[in-house]
This record gives sequence, C-alpha cells and structure tokens, in this order.
Amino acid sequence: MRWSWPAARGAVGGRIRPRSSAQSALSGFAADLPFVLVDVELAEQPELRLIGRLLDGVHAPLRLGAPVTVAFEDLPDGMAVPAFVLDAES
Amino acid sequence: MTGVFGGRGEVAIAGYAQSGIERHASVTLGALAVETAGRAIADAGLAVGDVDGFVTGALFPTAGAYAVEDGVSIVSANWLAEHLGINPRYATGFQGFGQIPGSVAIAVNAIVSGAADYVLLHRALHNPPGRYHANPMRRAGGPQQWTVPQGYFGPLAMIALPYNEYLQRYGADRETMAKVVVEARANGARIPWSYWYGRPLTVEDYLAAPMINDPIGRFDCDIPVDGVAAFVLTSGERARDLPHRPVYVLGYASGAPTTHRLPLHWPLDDIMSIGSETARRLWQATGLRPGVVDLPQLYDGFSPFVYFWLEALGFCEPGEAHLFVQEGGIDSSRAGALPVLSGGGALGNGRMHGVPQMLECYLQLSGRAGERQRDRAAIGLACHSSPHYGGAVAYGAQPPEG
Repeated sequence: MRWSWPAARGAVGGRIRPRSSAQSALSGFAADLPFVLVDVELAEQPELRLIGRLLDGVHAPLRLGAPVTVAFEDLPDGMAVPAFVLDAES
Repeated sequence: MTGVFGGRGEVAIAGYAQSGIERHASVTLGALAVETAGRAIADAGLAVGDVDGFVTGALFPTAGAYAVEDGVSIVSANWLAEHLGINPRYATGFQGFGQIPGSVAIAVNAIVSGAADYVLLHRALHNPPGRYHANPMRRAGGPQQWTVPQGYFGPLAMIALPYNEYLQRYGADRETMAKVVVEARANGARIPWSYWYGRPLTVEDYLAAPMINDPIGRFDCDIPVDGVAAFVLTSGERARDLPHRPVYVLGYASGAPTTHRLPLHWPLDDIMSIGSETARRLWQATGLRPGVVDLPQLYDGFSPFVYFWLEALGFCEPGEAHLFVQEGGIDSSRAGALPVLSGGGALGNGRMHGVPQMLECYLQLSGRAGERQRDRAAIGLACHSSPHYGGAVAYGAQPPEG
C-alpha cells in the first residue's frame, strides 16, 4: 500500500488512537525513552491509519478520538520523520 | 462449497511428549528435539521407523538480530527426520502465523490424502542469550522504513496499541487483566514441565511488575524459553489400535487478513473483524458452536489475546470479555466457568507458542491429565496467535457422528 503526503506540512488532520511508551528493543532509541507512539486515523481518509511519535511528551493527556496534526522531527543527514502533536483545543 | 471440513474426525492424536521448559536448556535445541520426538513416538506405541511424515512450523519468533541456524535456534522437519535416521515420504513446514494450527492442518491433510500414515508434528522454541528482541538496527528499509524510524518496532509495540485501545474503548483496567495472568500461572504452577511449576503469581505481584510498553507489563508477556513438544498423528482407524485413547481432529481455521497494514500494525478493529471471520470459518468447518465447546484453550502469548479470542469466538459480546473475566468467568476451579487457561497457556508455561493449548486439549480429551483431569472434556479448541492472523483447531474425544 502506498500513500502520498500532502504538499504542505501540517495539513494532515488525524485522530489519535492509543498510545504506547516505555522500552524499545531498538538500541538506537535508548536515549529517547520513554516516548509516546500514537495510531492515527487520517481525517481525510477513514481507516487509513499510521503510527507516529506524539511530540507532546509522555504526560500529555490522551484519549481516543483526540484530534492531532502532523509535525515533523528533524533527524541528522537532512532526514525528517513525520510525527504528531495534539491540537490545542483537545 | 459448504465450508465443512471433509476430513472431520478422520485423523487423531495418538501420543505426545513435552520436554522440560527452561530459560536455557543444557543441551542444544536439536538434541532436545530428537530426544522429545523419540519419546513421543514411543508414547504412541510406535517405533521410529514407523513414522513417515514430519511437520512443523519452525519460526524463530524474535524481532532481534539473531542468526537462524537449523538444529540450534530452530528445528525444521527435515532436520529432525534426518537426525532420527529417517528419510520420510513427507516432510514440510508451515510458513504463516499460528504455527500450531497451521502445522496441524498440514499433518491432517497429509494423513487424509495418504501422503503419510504416521506424522510426527513438533515445535521447538529457542531462547537466545541476551534480550529476546534486542536489535542494533540503525537504518530501516522496505516497509519497515515507515515504522521503525518512529520507534515502532517489535511485538510489544504491536500488542500495546490495540490493548490500550481496548482499555480505553471499553473502560477495562489492569486489575481485571491480573485475573487472566493469575489464572494462567495458577494452572501452570501445577504442570511439572512448566517453567513456572510451583510458582503461582499474585495480583499484587502482577501489578507491581515493571511496565514494559504501556499498558503491557512484564507479566502480560510469556517468558522466552527453550522447549520442545512433539505429537504423533495418524488416522483415527489406526489410532484405535494404539495404546492411548485417540483424540480426534474435528477441523481447523486460520485467519486471512484483508486489510493492508504496515508490519505489526494490528488495530483492534482489524483483530476483531477479521478474527470474527476466522471464527465463522471454524464453526462452519467443524459444525460446532461456542456452546458445545467445554475446553476452549485460548492463546495468551500476550494477555490481551485472551480477551480478543473470547470475543472473536463468540463466548462474549464485543467489549465484554473483561467483564466476564471480572466475574470469574475463566476461573477453571469454579464449576460452570469456561476453563480457557486450564493448561496454563503460554503465560503459565513459557513461550511455547500454541503448544500448551494443543497439549491441554490432548491430555484432557484423552483422559491423560492425571490429577488435573477435568470431569467434562469432550470438545476442545486450541487457539494460537491473534484471531486475525492465527488460527484454531477443534478436537473431540469421540469422532463426529454420522
């Protein structure tokens, strides 16, 4: 399955599903623990779901259906990885 | 096309052996498999040379960066046959999810078709030194490039998301799940070969254990082990001439995912909608319904699977499995309860995948469970993996009528 990102960053709305945080078996993530993963259903296309980091910190209040917006995490070597932030009104 | 399995009750389990289940065995996995297979064949009243079929699902279910070496970290059907000194007519391995129902289906079909008369079905599980899923990966390619850079990796994250979805959607809590794990460990503590033999768990211990991947705590996971189980299958007709009471295979079903997802992305809705289709196929293939199953052995490699199977199979309404558990519905010491973990499951034995479920069906239905023998055990169900990816096999103490 393929999907394309909208041209403008931050234009994707989504609804947060559950979170998951704590340990990772990937040693490359040791310094980032704990972090929050969310399963987001795109507002533009129901049932299209993707997983990303939530950038609001491990103590952010989370609930099913909370709206989020896409954000990007900048990584070394010019890479950017899509992630999410909670919308202000949530 | 009726969906009814044409080989219903034609094949039976005739004998078994289970190795000790240890964190790290004192011999290599291959040696343990050869020894266990030999005991299973003898238990069925056969000689090694009688076995002409070998079936397994050899998967080494780690997300870690470990080498797969036949005879050391896995044991294939061909490896085992060769090291028993047999050149079998039929030897193969199941490649999908739910290795136990998958390989039972292959063994049954081989016997019904006459491809083999006596099949040795085995499962060998290995626990490598170090962390089970540890992986030093620094770059991800292929489909993993869409999940790994986010930190989404391995089976713990896979199960944590749908479990949290279940908890939030249905208002379930970890105190209730403690009852599932305590039940598994109480039963496992009574099984001499279990890793947890003599070591039940308390609710307090469960809740005090470290969180691994919120909301999955340490005891929601089965413990990685070295262990081998082997079963001998043959036709019901031949099995009736062997020493032990045959246990008949009444049919099987496996999941068939139709949603396109990234690796290990298992939304709760996928698990339940596709899992219900797995169940529908199972009831259709076997002619059974939930109400006639007195020994459903549900898969519990992660504790939430018990809820998912209870609901997918129709023992509980969607969202109500946790209430059923809360009310003592799976307490196998209580008359009228569903003994879904009476064999201890994976949580009560160690990471033997679907073996404890199949073994409990065999032991109870053949009347060989010793002091654990239950009064009512006529129809059993052995589940493995998730309802949407794995499968289940139905067993009967008698062949089906008609």
